[in-house]
Amino acid sequence: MSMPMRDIIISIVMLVIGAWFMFLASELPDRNIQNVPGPAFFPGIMAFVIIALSAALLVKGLRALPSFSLTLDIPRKAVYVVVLFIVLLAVLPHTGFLIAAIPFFAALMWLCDDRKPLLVLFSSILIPVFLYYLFRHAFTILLPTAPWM
Amino acid sequence: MIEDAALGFAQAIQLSSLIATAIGVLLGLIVGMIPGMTISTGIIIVLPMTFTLDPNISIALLLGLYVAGMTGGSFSAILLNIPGTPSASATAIDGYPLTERGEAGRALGVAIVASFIGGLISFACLYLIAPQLAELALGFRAPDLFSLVFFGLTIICSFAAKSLIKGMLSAAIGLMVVTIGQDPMMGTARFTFDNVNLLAGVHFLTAMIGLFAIPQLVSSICDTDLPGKSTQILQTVRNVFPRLSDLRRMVKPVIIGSPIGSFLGLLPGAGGPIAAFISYDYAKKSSKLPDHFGKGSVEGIAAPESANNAVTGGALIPMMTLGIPGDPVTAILIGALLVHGLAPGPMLFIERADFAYGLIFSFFWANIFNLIIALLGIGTLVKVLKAPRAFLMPTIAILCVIGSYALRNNFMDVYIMLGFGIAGLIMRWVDMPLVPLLLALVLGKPLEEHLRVALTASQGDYSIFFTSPFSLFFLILSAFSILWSLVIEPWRQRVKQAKIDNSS
Repeated sequence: MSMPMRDIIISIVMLVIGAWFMFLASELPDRNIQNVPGPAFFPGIMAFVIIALSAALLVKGLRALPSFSLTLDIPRKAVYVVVLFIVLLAVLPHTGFLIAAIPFFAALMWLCDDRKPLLVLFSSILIPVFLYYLFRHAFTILLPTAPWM
Repeated sequence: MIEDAALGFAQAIQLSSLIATAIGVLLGLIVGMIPGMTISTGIIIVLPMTFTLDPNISIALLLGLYVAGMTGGSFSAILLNIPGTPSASATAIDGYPLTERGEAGRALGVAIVASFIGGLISFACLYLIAPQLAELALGFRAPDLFSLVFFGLTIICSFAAKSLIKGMLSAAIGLMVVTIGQDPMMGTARFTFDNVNLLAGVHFLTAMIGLFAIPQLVSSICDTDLPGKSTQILQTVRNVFPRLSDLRRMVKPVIIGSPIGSFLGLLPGAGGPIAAFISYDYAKKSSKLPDHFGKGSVEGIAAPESANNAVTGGALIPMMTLGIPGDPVTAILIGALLVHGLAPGPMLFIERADFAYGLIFSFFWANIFNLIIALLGIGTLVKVLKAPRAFLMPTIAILCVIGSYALRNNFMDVYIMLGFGIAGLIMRWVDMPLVPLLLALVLGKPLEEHLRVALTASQGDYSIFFTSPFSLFFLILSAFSILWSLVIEPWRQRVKQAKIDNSS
């Protein structure tokens, strides 16, 4: 996908977000103290700035657009990494750190093209366990454990 | 002042602080050396380990990482012609040709010693300038502080060279994000959607972990064409201690590079890469043998290396005294200080002068350890360049999760981290710079607070920003900064390009 096309997409998304924030800012309670800026003052300015800049980017993108194309050129591995993170965060509160981190680590090693099964197995167990106990005992940071443990 | 300095020195010389500095240096050399890993990412990864440490120890470790990261960047630049950090780009010009001639050890030795001298000179600047500037800043009122923070934000322009609209949009997103949570003046909940976890706002370290580490991780996993020449290069790393003749040749470029680096470090947005290239250029122009530059000149390594390490001390001056970050690393260091309940700014020298001077002296020790560890350990350290990414990347991913969770023992922060990580990936995809967003996250809160306090005091009269001399001074500086980035610098580039075209 060409850069102008990406600019158009992001500017439309930001226009929507800017308008939404402007609406939310307008809903904030006003203290009605004369000549004193209230809680909506700064977010209101920022929402306006976002809308103005997004509109400018949209115009720039439309002017530079060579042809209309919507083919996404995102590397497949990038999508896998994000999906792995989402899965990790979804299961983390239920399984705790160790149970969630071990398969996550193994999957990432696999994505890094290291596919020796024994190496993947041992490192994906040893490294998260080491980090868990390092933080727990050396830095006294308690990482989440499963509610049922 | 002398008493405070003595207290600070005593803190920095404690065994625990010295060990932390040495560990930080070791980590910094490793992080700096790995192509694709920035010092910012390194600090973000190490940061969660420092949450429960004493602030002096924590900052000593992070400063060690900052200082050594600059030097570490030159190792891969010299050995592989791949700068570990952007600041080491100029070092590769003369460092790699020396490696090709089988003199990698010589090039590394020159880089290490030049970094050390640059660091020491910037320490002197930090020690002499920071307390004076802090004293001056104590007189600033709300309009002055607003204009100062606004000036800090204008450095966004220098990070938005490709597209000003995208740079400003990135900053505006950051300024919008900082409004989430309780309003700083009236306590009104803003954009929290009745979620109590959002009342305290988005912690900017959480956002930073997502914005910097996740895109870095993804691109490292996707990038399969990473260096594979290290085995052959490793055999040539010997004779690291510079010869007397090389030390003599380093004097002039180091005298040029160190002050340039310290000064440019002071200026928000200038940073290591600019300092390195400017000093390289000056060193070349003032050299008796300019033809040797680009072919393995010792001066060509010494000038940029002394300059980029001198930037570190310079950048700490506005960070410590005004709370204004000059680059992403100092922005993260502000976050690290805030985690420990220490707000950088002029009051730091009044309320916690011992800590402020401790920081300055830890910076000194960081430079000393950097020299010792780099010179003695280079043979072993370069083996990191062979370390398999398959271990490194998953470990970084796990540390991102731990880091964001450990901040407040809250899952919400981990979700926010991933949200920012995805936002960072999208921003990379549309070529939108991340640094303006980061700076806006750091400066957004004080910007809003000072603006509203000033307007409340003046009953909504905006002329207050022009009647205060300090405020006016900073607004003029801001205008100049914007003008420089938007008009003068592009014009200079055009003229330079035209000259090159004419000569060819």
